[in-house]
Amino acid sequence: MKRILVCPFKEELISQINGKALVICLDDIYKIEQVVDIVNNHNKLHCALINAKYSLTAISFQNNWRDIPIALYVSDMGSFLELVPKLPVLRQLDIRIYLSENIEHTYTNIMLLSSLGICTGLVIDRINSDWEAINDLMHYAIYGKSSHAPIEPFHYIASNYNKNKPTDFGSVYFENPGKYLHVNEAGNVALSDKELQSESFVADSLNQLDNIENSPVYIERINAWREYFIKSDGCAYCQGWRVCLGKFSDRPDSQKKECEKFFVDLMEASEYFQSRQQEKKNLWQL
Amino acid sequence: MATIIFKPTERCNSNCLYCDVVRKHRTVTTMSIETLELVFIRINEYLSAKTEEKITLIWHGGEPLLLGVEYFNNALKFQNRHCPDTKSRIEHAIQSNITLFSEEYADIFRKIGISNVGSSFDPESNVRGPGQNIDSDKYNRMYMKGDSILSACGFGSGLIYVVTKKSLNNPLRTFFFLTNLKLKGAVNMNPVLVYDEKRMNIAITPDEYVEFLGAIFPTWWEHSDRYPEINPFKSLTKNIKNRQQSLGCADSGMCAYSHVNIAPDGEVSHCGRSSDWDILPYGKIYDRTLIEVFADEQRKVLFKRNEVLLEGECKRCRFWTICHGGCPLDAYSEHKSFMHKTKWCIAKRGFIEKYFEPITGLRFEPYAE
Repeated sequence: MKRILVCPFKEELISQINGKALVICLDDIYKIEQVVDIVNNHNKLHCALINAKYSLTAISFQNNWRDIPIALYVSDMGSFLELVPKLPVLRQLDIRIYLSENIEHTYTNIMLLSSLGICTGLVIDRINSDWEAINDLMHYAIYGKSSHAPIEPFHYIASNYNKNKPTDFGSVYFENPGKYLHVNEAGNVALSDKELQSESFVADSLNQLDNIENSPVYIERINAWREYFIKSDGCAYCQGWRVCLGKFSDRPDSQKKECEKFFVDLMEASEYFQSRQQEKKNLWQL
Repeated sequence: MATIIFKPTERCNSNCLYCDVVRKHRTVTTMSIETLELVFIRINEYLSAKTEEKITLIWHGGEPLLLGVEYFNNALKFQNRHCPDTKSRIEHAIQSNITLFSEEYADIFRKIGISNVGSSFDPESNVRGPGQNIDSDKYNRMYMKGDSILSACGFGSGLIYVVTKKSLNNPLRTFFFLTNLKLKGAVNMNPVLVYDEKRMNIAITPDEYVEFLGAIFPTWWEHSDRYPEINPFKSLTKNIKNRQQSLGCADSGMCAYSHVNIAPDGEVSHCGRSSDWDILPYGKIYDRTLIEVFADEQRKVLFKRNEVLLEGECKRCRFWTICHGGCPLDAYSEHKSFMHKTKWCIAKRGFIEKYFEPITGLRFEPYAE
């Protein structure tokens, strides 16, 4: 399988890569036009992944970013009043805006952006997540009758849910070794961003990319889910496992019931979503 | 369709708490190559005489993968040599603990037409595993490795879960565990069958089995699309809701002329259970053809059983057509006579009346026989 490489915006590194789809990480959104120029010579830009340290409203969105796929992490949304004049351009962009659950009013802001036709993603990164609030947002995302743009990771799970296979929503955050590999400036390759930071590499150079599937580390990672089934309790016994895959197994025990309830609801929502899609396909059209 | 429960080895790398095979201590534990060849000669004789028949050869054990890849290669060689005109009517299946599965097995399995492997798994500790202490942790790791290779090689797999006393604490959690492990493929939840005093600590009563199933059934019924291949729920639904009579050997009342078991020493018996419990021996494969074995006079008692039960213990039971008094071998183990129903028919009836019918709103109506 051809994997997408997640790598920093370093021209020297990118020039060594050929014929790949790339996610280019950078902090400065105003450099994305340069990204396009450099990447698309010999590769394909999957998206520019911007980790902005400022709020959404601080960004001056440009009309000529329209065809650039962007994943934008911002520190918060900023004031709605300041956002309004930016909306005509923002709504034209091929952009998904990620907000952390740690930010005040995140759930409301995600709903707001979504209702304005802007794709969003919730970053579930608190030790004590508010699963009830996440569940409410999920209900809005999947069951909401009013028109709105997709909200991740709910839309991804609902669209990709398959009762015969586990659904790994790590792809929403570029964390899925079956799809994304992470590369640092020196060309070392890791199976996740965390492993890249801790220098746990699966390959020391880009030349080894084609053999990654045979690497013991990769095989172990692909089968890591089986570890849950060796334990005498834990996530393998949870009804929601097939859409969660133990992603929150390190959370306190007090959270386990809440996250289970959320993922069970999400699974049901996914089944509902898919039945609706099926209905749409089956409708006779004029 | 004739079914051969084929046990070319009764050796096993696991010491499952409920298994009778590993506790038999046979003198001959692995079938010789000469006997293996004779089995295919016998199969060819049978299929040549019965031109409308098919044979399913279920590789069983013990653990069949202990035989080694070469043994299966020999089986294929003997099949090609002795069954040139009948091999299209031979179907192979296998029940294995998959802990020894490898890419080499994948190759030979493909050649003999096996695409799906039946396996077993019990999440409870010290039920399934090697050694005197039944090292379930070691077993589980080996199982997971085998399962990953099986899956990478494109094989399907189902699993059997044996409901024991240890299962009764949290049936629904166990159900989620099993269906999470086997998102695709069948899961069969069967009651443990132990009849010796030593292992009564894991035995369950029919009522306990009913309650185990009853704790799971509402969830399954509500989400049967999500968990499609779960038995006994699916088979009951097929029989009761869809009116498609589909029964396993234990409930069909028809095993009399369909099943045979061949043990490592060439001993032929009625089925796996009869072989384990030394009931209904039909002689040796060296001395008798399969045609003779399938026509053995001892089998008549099983047909007679249907008549006796229908006039006696099962008279007017509305579940007769999906139960037939249960497995005759189970009945024998309990009563030392085939002419009784088993206690597990009470479980079937109990589950349908207490859970299936009230929850589904469906009522089982007997089939015409």
